[in-house]
Order: sequence, then structure tokens, then C-alpha cells
Amino acid sequence: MLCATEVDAQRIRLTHLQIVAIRSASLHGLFMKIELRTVTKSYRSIRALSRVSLEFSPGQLISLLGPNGAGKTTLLRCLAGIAAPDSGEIYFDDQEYRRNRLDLRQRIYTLPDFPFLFWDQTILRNLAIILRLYNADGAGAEERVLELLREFDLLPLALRPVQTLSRGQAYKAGLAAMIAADCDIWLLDEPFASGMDPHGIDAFKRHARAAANRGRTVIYSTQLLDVAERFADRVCVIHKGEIHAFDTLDRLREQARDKHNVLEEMFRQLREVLQ
Amino acid sequence: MKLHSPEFERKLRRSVKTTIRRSPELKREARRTNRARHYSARPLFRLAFSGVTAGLTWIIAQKTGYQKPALVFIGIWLLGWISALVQSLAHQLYASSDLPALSLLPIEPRVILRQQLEKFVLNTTWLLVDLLAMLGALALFAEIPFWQCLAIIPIAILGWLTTLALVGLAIVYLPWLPYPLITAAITLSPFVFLVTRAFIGPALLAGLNASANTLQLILPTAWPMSLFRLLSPNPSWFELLFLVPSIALIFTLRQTYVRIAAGYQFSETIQPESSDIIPDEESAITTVDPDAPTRVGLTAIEEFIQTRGFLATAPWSKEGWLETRLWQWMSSQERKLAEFVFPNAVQMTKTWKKAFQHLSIGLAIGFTLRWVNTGLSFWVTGGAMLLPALRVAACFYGNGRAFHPMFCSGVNIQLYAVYPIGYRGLSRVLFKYSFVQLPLIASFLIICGLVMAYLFGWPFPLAALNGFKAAFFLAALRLIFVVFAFSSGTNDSSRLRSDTFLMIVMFLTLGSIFLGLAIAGLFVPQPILSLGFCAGAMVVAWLFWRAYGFFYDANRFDIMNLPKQQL
Repeated sequence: MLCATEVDAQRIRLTHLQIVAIRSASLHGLFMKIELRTVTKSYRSIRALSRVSLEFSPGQLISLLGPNGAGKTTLLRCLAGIAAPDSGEIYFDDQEYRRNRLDLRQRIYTLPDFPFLFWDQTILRNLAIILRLYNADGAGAEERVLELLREFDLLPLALRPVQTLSRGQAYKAGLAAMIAADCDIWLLDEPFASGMDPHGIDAFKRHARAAANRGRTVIYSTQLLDVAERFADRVCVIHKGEIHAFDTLDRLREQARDKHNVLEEMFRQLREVLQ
Repeated sequence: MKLHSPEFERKLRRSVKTTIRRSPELKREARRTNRARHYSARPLFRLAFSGVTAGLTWIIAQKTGYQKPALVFIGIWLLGWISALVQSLAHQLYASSDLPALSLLPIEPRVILRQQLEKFVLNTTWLLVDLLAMLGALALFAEIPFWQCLAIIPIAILGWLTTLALVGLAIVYLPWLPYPLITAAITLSPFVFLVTRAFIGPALLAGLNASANTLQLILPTAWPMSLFRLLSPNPSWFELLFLVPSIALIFTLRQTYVRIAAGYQFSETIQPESSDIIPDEESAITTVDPDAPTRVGLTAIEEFIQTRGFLATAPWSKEGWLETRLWQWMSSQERKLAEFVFPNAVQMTKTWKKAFQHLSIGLAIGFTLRWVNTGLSFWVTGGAMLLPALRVAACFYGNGRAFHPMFCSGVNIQLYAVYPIGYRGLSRVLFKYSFVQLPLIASFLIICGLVMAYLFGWPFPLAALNGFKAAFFLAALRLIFVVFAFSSGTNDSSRLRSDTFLMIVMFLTLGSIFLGLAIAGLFVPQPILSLGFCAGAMVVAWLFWRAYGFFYDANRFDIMNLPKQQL
């Protein structure tokens, strides 16, 4: 009998055909490859990222893990173009990131821990404005929006201003915009600490998994190790701005002594090094 | 409830230090993070600033030979501070970075309000230092005996409190005034004066001397300063009467506090589940599409979405003539951005109609008053031009909501920054928004120029031309203000790097050239030459905007701000 983790792992495993489809689409530039080359970022004397080199292939769910202040949010901000690296480059599809490359930027959606919405506008108005910015307001947008609002229990609140919603509901509204825009790269900062209810979290997981299966790259930061263990194709462990591990869970498991709590063990080791 | 306990903090600091000392690793880490010690040169600069203001007071008193113009100057100077202080207070009360943390504590909003107000008042104590320096300089000029000089302390405190009272009244009753713009104009004025002092310095001094009595009566900040005259050898006890309105103003502080406290709330709003009908107040704070269902039933919302009603663009054409022209002028991509920048749609036509109405009414009153009192008529006419000018300036330089800072994981990020919105695209929308108003602002300034020509006896064609040139200058300034709007959300000038230094030097140079050309354009009498200077100023402003865009696009700085405590 399979344990829960193995069932999840089997469920998320891509079929051979899906992998072939994603690889071929990636070759033709349909999906986005991300590459960080020796990226360093400091805030005065604090080094948030130290010569980070990473490559994110399309069609993956990547979990950024690390203690508080490790550099997870800074990494996400660098990818989103909000923070500028002190040195090193970031490439999207082998093209260096520049803020005037709107064609690249329209393929990236960033959802901070507090969604950037117009608080005095209704959910629907926010969705309309955002979808238009991403050129995602074409045919079929209405069906997508309706389905998402229904799924996130936001339909009765759709004509309410965002400021009258709870934090979790507001986050769901931001998430609905992200899913409806369906960009190539989804960047999420702590989506599991966003105040969403279990149903919302479950809906997010389903959509993120489906997006990865479609070739999208979903990168999120979290502190919840069990979530990362079940809900990630690759795990990126950052500590003091350095990458300590970036691999699939299976491979990390092979190297670990405690096969069932691989991430916990890794964090324990990091802490021991610190002490 | 006490929010600050020095004893507790001391204990906490001591125990943290002990823990760090015990662990070599923690000691290393603490040393690493505390390596860069930051010294602030602000107190030195501030003291130097107080010295400059004291020097100015002395010069005015010396040049005019009287105390009164210098006292009125102090009143004007205090009045100039009000706008910046209103901004500072609004930020402290509603946008300070410690508010989210404070709102999570089990304390009443009233306690938070008091804490924030205390911080604000503490920050304004430099104003008191300035006042002491200025009155001290005046006391030296008037050769007042030392023991009498002690009286300047209560006068300075009175002036400081009066200013705070006016700040409170402004934030409660005049929150709509364009304070950032007023502050920018006031900050810019010393530089303009510095460059043009040879032309306008003597005229300003003469004007100040001539209208010192009127200004002393009109300006509330000049009332407490009048008490200084009681220290002279032959005091006029009439000046003591100014104590009454000053104290009355200070008494409004309590009422201001009550009014701010009544509406003060900084916490997450959680509303009950939605009702069947949108309440009136909700529909008032949001812009709902006119075709949106008024009954919020599930079926109605579903239908609204399915028919793509929610994707309908904002009906700008219904707002007015100017809005329609702007909408027609913009490309489809710019319209998308415009919807983001102005989610509540824009209101230009109404603002302009009101501005012209107020101008004509004010001018009519001002000219009628000429039969009664020429001095009063002069000031009323000036006010009638200034107040609508502030309103239209706010409309002309409006940036909408794109640059609204959002506090997120310890930093402030402007709203547009997380979306695919570029420097040029957003700038273009803002330029079109302003430039569509250009004919109106030119008309407004030409009218003001003609009125001033009538009052001062200048030639009318020259006044009209100056009005036109001023409009041209304001249009050029738009490009620079857009750069400032972008820059306000970045760390472009806070990193010690060679490219940051290069950028600052370049912008200071371009800014100075712009200022020089603009002033030359406004004051050089030859029309062709002055228009050439204006065109030059426009080109430099455009270069300024393009150069900043280069650095912005090349990812040379963050588009987020670290709060001061993190720096």
C-alpha cells in the first residue's frame, strides 16, 4: 500500500507525452526558461543573495524554502524585476531581463503576500483591469473568471470593493486574477500563509498543478515543509542568500538519512551549522 | 496603555546582549550585521538651515531698516511650512510603516493615534529651533537687552503652537489641497529666488515693506510674531491684541484632535457576508459599471460576467468634453494603462469649470473691493488667482493611482511595479493626460497675466505672452515631475555606487540647466529669445526624462523603498 506522499507523487508525475509536449513547446519558445547567473543582491551590509546561479525549466512547480531572512522573497523580487541585482544577470528564454521588455514582463505574474489590488474597486473591476494589462481579456475570459470566482467562493462578493473583504478573500481575488491571466511564470510569495481557507488552498494547488502540466513555471516561497514535500517538483533551499539544495525531492531523498522527513532533516542540519 | 517602556527595553537589550556574548556564532553574526555604522549628518544640516533662516531675517531687517517686515517674513516662512507639515502628519497618521504592526496589538486606535501624534510633534521641534534662531537674530538687530531676549522663548513657542494648530485645521478641513505640489513649489522657490534675486529681490523687499501691516493682519502665523514688538523701547500695546486670535487658534488643537480621533482607524476591515442589495455607501466608494446589476443575486452577477459586462471599459466620454478628447487621443494600449492609472475615471472638465467659476467670482469681488480698500482688493485678487491655480495645478499634474505605495514584506512597492507596465508607456499616458489640458491652463495663465498687468500697469501683450510662456514652462515641468513620481518609489539615490553618483550628478546638472533656461525664458524681455529659452527648457526636460528612463529600464536600481529603520 502506498503512503500519502507516494500517492501525491504519483498523481503529480507527468505522463511521458506531457513531458515531450512541454519540451517541444519550450524549444519553440512557447514556455519560458529562467536562468539566474551569479546573481548577488545586498541591502547595505546584509547580503540577501550571494552569487546565486539557477535554472528553472518550464512545466515545474518549484518551492523556495529557507529560514526567515534567507533570501526567498528577494529571489522572487529579482525574478519579478522589482529588485535589481547588484551583480549577475537574469535571463528569460536566453534574453537578458530589462524593464522595458514588456513582452517578457507580460509573461510573468507576481503575487506578493498582500495582493496588489485597488482596494476601493470591486473584485470584478480589479479582474477586468488586470486581465486587460495582460491581454488576457479575449474570448473565454468570462468563462474563466466565472469558474474561478465560483471555485474560490467569491461569486457573491464579486461586486464588493476589495477593502470590505477579509485578508484571505482579498488574496483569493489576487489569485483568481493570476490564474485567469495564465502567464508563463507564476511567482507567489507565501501563498500558504495568505489567510486562505483550506478549500481555497486546495483550489490553488489544483490550478498550480494544472498550470505546471500545461508548461507554466510556478515558483512559490513557503515555510511549510510538509506542503513543500507534497507540492513541488523541485525544491530550492536557500540559506543566508546561498543555494543549499536545488533538486527533485526524489533525489534529495536518496541522499538523506531520514527518507521520510528529508526537508526537516535538511533544516535541522542548517540550524546545527548555524549553532 | 503605555506603548513605550524604557525600563523594559533596557532589560530586553541587556538580555539580548548576554545571549549574543555567550554564543560565538551569534557574536560573529551580530558583528557582521552591525559592521556598517550609520552616522546621520542631519542635525548639522538642520542647524545650518536654522542659521541661514536667521541670517535672512537679519538681512531683511537691515535692508528695510524695520522689524515689522522681518517679523512678517517669519510669518510667511511659517506659513510655507504648513503644507510640508500637513503631508508629514498625514503620513504619520495613515501611512507610517509601523502602523501595520501597531494595529495588530491589543490597543485602542486612540492610543495609536496619540503615539503617532507624539512622534509628529517631536519631529516638528526643529521648527522651534528655527524660530528661536530667527527671533534671536532680530533681537540682536534691535539691540534688545539680554534679559528681555528671554521673552523670545514664549513667542517662539506661541508661533510654533499656532503653526501646529493651522496644520491640524488644514488636515481636517482642507484635505483636498494639493499639498505635495505646494510643498514642491515652496521648496523650489528659494532656488528660483537665489537665481533671480538680482531682478526680483529689491521688488520683493519693497513689497514686503509696503504691505507688512496688511500681511500682519491677514497671516495667522504672523500674529504671534507681532508680540516681539512689545520688546522694543517704545512698545505699542495694540500688538498685544494679536495674542487673542493666536490663543484661540491654539485652542482649536483639542477640537482637531477630537475630529481626527473620531474617524481614525487603521485595521483590517472585515464585513459581514454580502447582503442582497448593495448599500448606498458602498456604491458611493466604488465605481461600478452603470450596466452592473443593482441587485446582487448570484444569477445577476453570473449574467453580468457571462455577458462580458464586467470587461466593459470605463465610460469616460460621459465625464465631459476633455475626458472624451483624452480618450480619443490615446491608443488602445494607452487606454488599458489609463484605466489602471485612473480606475475611478478622470474628472477634468468639472475641475476646470469650477476653477474658472471661482476665478471669475474672486476677481469680481477683488475688483469691487477696490472702491473700499486698495490694499485689501490687491490681496483678495491675488488669492482669487492663487486658490483656483492650486486646484488646476493638482489636476494638471495628477498621477492617478499608479504610484500608490503598497507596504509589502517590509518594503514599500508602488502599485504599478508588479504589473507589466513600462516607464515609457505609463509616462506617455500621464503626458497626454496633462497636455490635453494645456489650452485651458494657457488660457488660465494668460487671464492671470492680464489681471496682473492691469494691477501693476504692465503692457498687456507682454503679460499675455508671459502667461503663455508660463504654461509652456509648466508643460516642460510635467516631464520632470513624472521622473520624480517614478523615483519616489525606488532606491535610485540611496545606494553608494559609481552609477548612482553619475546619475545624481547628471540629474543635478540637467535640473540646473532646465531651471536656468526656464527662468531666462520667463524673464528675458525679447520675445523671440525668451521663446527660444522656453523651447530649450522643454528639450532639457525631455532629456531628463529620457536619461532617467535609460537607468530605469536597465535595471540599475530597485523599484521598491526600504523603510528607514531597515536602512
